[in-house]
Amino acid sequence: MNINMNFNMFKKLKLKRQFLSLNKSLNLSKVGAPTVLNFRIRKGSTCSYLHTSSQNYSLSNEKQDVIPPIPTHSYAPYACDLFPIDKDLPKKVKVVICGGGIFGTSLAYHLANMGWAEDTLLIEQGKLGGPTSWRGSGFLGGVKLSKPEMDILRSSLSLVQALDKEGHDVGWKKCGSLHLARTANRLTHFRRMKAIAEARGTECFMLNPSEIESKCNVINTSDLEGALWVPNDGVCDLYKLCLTLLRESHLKGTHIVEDCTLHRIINQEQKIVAVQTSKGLVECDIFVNAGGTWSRKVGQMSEPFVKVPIHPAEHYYLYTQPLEGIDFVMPAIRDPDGFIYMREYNGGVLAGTFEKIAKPAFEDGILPDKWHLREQPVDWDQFHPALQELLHRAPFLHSALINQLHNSADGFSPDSRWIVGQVPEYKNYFVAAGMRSGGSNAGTGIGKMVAEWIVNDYPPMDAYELDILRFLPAHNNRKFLRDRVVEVPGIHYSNEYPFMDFNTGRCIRMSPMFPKLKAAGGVFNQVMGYERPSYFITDGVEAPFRAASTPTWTKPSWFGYTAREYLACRETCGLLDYSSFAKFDIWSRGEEVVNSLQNLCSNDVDIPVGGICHSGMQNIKGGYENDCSLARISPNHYMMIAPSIQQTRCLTWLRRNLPSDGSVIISDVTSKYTAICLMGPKARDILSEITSFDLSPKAFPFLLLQRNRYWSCKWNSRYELNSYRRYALHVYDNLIEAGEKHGMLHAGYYAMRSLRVEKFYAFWGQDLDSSTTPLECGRVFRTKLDKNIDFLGRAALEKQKKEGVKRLYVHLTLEDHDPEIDPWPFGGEPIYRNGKFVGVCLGFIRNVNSETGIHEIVTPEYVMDGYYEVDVAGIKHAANASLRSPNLPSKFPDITRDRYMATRT
Amino acid sequence: VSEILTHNEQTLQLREENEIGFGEAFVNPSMHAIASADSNQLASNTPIEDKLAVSRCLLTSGFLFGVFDGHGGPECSQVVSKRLFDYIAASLLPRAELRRIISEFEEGRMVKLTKVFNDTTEFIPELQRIYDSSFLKWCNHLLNDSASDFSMDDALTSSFLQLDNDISNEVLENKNSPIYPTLLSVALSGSVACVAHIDGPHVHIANTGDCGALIGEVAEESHGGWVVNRLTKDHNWENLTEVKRILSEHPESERDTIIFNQRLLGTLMPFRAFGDVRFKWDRALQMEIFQSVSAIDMSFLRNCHTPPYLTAKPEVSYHRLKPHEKFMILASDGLWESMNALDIVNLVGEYMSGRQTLQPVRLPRRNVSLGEVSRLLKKRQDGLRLKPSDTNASTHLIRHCIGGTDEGVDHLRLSHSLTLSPDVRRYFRDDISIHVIFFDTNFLRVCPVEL
Repeated sequence: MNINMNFNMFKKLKLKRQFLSLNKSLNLSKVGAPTVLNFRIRKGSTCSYLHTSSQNYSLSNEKQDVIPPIPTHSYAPYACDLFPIDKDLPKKVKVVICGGGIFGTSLAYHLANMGWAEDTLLIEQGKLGGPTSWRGSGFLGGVKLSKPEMDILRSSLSLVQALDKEGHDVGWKKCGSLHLARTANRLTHFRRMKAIAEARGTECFMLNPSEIESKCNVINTSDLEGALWVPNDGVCDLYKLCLTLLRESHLKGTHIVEDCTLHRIINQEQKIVAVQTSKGLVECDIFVNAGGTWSRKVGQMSEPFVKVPIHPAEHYYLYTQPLEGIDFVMPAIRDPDGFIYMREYNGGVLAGTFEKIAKPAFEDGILPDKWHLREQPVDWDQFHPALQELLHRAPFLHSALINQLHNSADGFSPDSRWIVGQVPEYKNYFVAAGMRSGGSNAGTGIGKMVAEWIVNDYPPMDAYELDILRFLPAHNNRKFLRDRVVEVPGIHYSNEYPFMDFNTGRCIRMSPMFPKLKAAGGVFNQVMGYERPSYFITDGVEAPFRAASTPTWTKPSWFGYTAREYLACRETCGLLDYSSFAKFDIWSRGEEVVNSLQNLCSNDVDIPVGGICHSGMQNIKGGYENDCSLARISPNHYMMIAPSIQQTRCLTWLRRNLPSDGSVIISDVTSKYTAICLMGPKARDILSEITSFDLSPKAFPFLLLQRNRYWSCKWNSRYELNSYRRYALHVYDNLIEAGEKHGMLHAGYYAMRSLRVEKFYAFWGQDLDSSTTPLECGRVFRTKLDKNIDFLGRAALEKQKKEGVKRLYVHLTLEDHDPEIDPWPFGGEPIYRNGKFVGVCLGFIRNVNSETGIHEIVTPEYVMDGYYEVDVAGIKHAANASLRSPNLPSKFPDITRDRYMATRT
Repeated sequence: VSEILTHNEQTLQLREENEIGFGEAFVNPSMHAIASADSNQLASNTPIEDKLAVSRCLLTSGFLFGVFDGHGGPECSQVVSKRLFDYIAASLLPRAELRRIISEFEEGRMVKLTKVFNDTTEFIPELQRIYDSSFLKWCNHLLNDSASDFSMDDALTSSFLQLDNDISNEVLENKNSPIYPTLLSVALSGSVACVAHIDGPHVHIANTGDCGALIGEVAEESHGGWVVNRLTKDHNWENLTEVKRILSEHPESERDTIIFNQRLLGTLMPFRAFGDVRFKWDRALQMEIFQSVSAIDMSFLRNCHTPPYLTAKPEVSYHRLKPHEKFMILASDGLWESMNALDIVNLVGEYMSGRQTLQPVRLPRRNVSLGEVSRLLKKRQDGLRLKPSDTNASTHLIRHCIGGTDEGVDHLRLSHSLTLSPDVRRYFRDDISIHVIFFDTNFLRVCPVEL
């Protein structure tokens, strides 16, 4: 007794029905025409529906109120055949989402959940759903060392679990994830992952080979050192997940229009106001670029265009035909040393690879118009290494029959991390891209994050390392992206060694000193595209170009060089290249610049001309948006020096917050100057040989600026010389000549990093982020809270001052750590206070009430009376905590002035 | 870097020298056993005396490949290489077709019997006229030939013999022609020939002299090596049957003089050849001819008592191609002298697997297992490693022939050999001409037995 039911009726019914889980009793069989599918539902009732052009569902039992089950992938119908999607565009909405991939659908879903359904429009250039759409591994969970990434993975996982609990068929299986290690270094990597994951509440286990076999007896464990087992992870079916998200948001009223090609994004005064599509014009308040692989192209549809630095690379995944006796809950297996992953899928195996050397796709930069055309002809030779690894790992696959090998182009960012955030070019333009084919894992959680960002107008978490503001326009160069993408997918499965860097796309930004530094034995790392010396190999051999790498978790091979450089900086003098620091000129005709900066900076910037001050720039919540030094060059002209990685972010922050009337002018002059830093007790002697300035402490006190052909500033025994690029070599040569007899050495970034960690000097992007306040990191002395000058974030800081902080920045010294043997704490290690997890290196200490989960006030007393341990790759080392910069013993105590302390209580 | 540079130089040199000859690869899409053929030659003599020819019979099915190694000048090999295929093609025609062609010829319309690949030279009109009339006579002769049973063997043999006769008769019949010296020089110089007629899976090889042909076949799948299958016998002193044949054709008294110094009458290496009329005409005829042309430096052969000593009669062999036979090599003695046959076959075999990998992989069928795919890809990867720098198998062979050492091609040796001055290089190597004909395994696999 089949009854054809109008969809609207169905919709109403659905809203108040009980959900029924169907996934296990799903029994597919073709009846009659191949387009008709029959589903057997629990309790023996039969539900069949047509997915031809009519949108009728036939239910055998009208009282039985069910969600139509989602067919398995090979029969995947289009979304429009399952529920009616809008034909026409609305005139005006709040949010336009361009792209119906996992991120787009997840964002639409979350916006709908937050009550924005009617105000959201999702457009898709092709058709939503269908046999080749929404493909992916469906992996959920996993462990990442970085907090934002881990948080996003966890939020994806919990969403899928929640949907499954509600009765939606999203293909969720709690099968656990098994990360295999073939080498000892990988095992150490896993131990670090386990340490941080457990600290944050994810249950993980280290397995030995025989235990691995008990979790999955079909894989070859002969060459394995061990594995990381995350029992609560699982897999879903990306197609089912997307379809569910889309249908749920549709039911809530989200506008969804397909076959709608974006032509142009229209902006006024740096704000997106409307989008022009093939189906008409829609006004909007917020635009979201969810173009995935196409997002770089979508970025080019506005003027000025938005730079989304991603490049597609071929990405392979293989479906086998159903295998006899396969374990339905076979764990999701990642074998990163073999660059492969695999899982059970529809009775067969779904396996894929993140190749060590990937193959760029669409190298000419011309992407096909329709998304399904991103499926490329299969190059078996490219897949061959992965296939060999698969067969090696899972010998049972030898006899498995191929269903299909897919090669679909996926966009990868140049540093392999996801790209999320508000673009620098426009105020109301969001983007998320470069999901590395990890759609289910990344896109779902990122959709939630962006939805919250949009609705609250404030990001739910700080994710600097994922923010699109971490790039420069230079990163968008197509040749650079193409060169780099070869290496990027493999990075995903390589060991996350400290100071990770790439081998491709190098030598893009260089100072005039670069050839000299290279000749001096410089080994370089790249920061914002800039080649910065990490350390110097003093073997007298001039190598072609040496890129720094630290392929170890223990004492690195460069330690000897860095130690020498460190000692030079402490006892004689070190010469460092500081050119990568971002520099800005800020000026105005009248006093506008002073007033604006006073409003933006938490420290008093109304300093004498020629003076320098450190200041943070706080956001409304009091967090550091920027941490910089300001030199007052003339009454209405400042020079700002900000961390290298802040170059885009800082400029964007200033542009958005300086007066919009154009009275204050800001220009990025980073590339105009070359900066040399002389550090060490002999620095003054060396400098005085080449300059006529009086450098005696009296005449040139701390934090003062002198200008001539170059201007220099100093603090402690450190002089920073910023010269125009054309004078840089001259300055450098003179310094080298003068420094020779004083035993001056070149020093690299690693030495500087050691020095600053030792001095407890916080760095933005490593210790500080947009959620850190000056009160939490011992920097109240750098604010003007004691003065009666208002500034952005003051209210938040004052409130915090009154209430007390909930975390404190601490300096920890490991006590029983043997640097020769033990794995090193390179950052990201969990900190335990009296056996309880309280923070992560380099670190903040929290006080979480284990019963209520509430973050309680952290006082210096609380910090100081604890017993601390730091878990470095599974070994807990006792640590001494301190809240202020230490007094370091010095052979040359400078008795003439106060010592500068970067962090104070 | 220096290695790459010198390598490139040599490649260029190789090409420069090729200008005299030709390098060719063509692919034939129709249902033939031939997948492709690579040809190349390298000169030692100036000008080169070797000739290569490839043509397709237009009125019958089948391809003709020929290698012609001239001696005493390039004229004979040149003429034979250009004329022989038409003779053979005509001898293969059914009578009705032959009749039609003759009538067309008589009306002055030339019917092309063969499509010649990669030959840009043409005979001068006077010569062409003489050759056309000889050819017409041959067609008429074929038409009136009483023998009713067609045999490939006979057709090839008679074509060879007829052409040789014509070359010699044309001299005698055109004494007053202005191009008489040319005709004479053709007849005085000589050429050996090896011709392969390939039609479907059938291969007929007609060999006269010391060029040779062989087939490279894959040995049993289990060990996967290459096996040489020689199709021809050289007609020289190393061939006992030939020696016996020659001795038997001449009086006992000449026993010690016929084959002397490993050569026929102490002069000629091959025991069968086109041209070389001094071995074929009697003394009186030679005297008469030679006196008529003072320009030609003539000398009688010593001990030439009972000519003819030399014949153009080919030894014809038949071979039916099998699926595991992957390629055939036709080459002049320049190649056979400098390398042993198994090495040659191995080289081409490796080259082949290298060339296969230049194509993208297509899975052999649906429902293939991952293990099988992996094995297939592994094989390909091995091939990729062996991927030759040459895109032409013949060039590949030549490179190894003159630059080969145990460790592979020695570029220094190669460049040294290639840059030898034309005066001295004849002492180091002979002209080398090679056809490598690749067979279409798929065709051979499905080829019906009765075909």
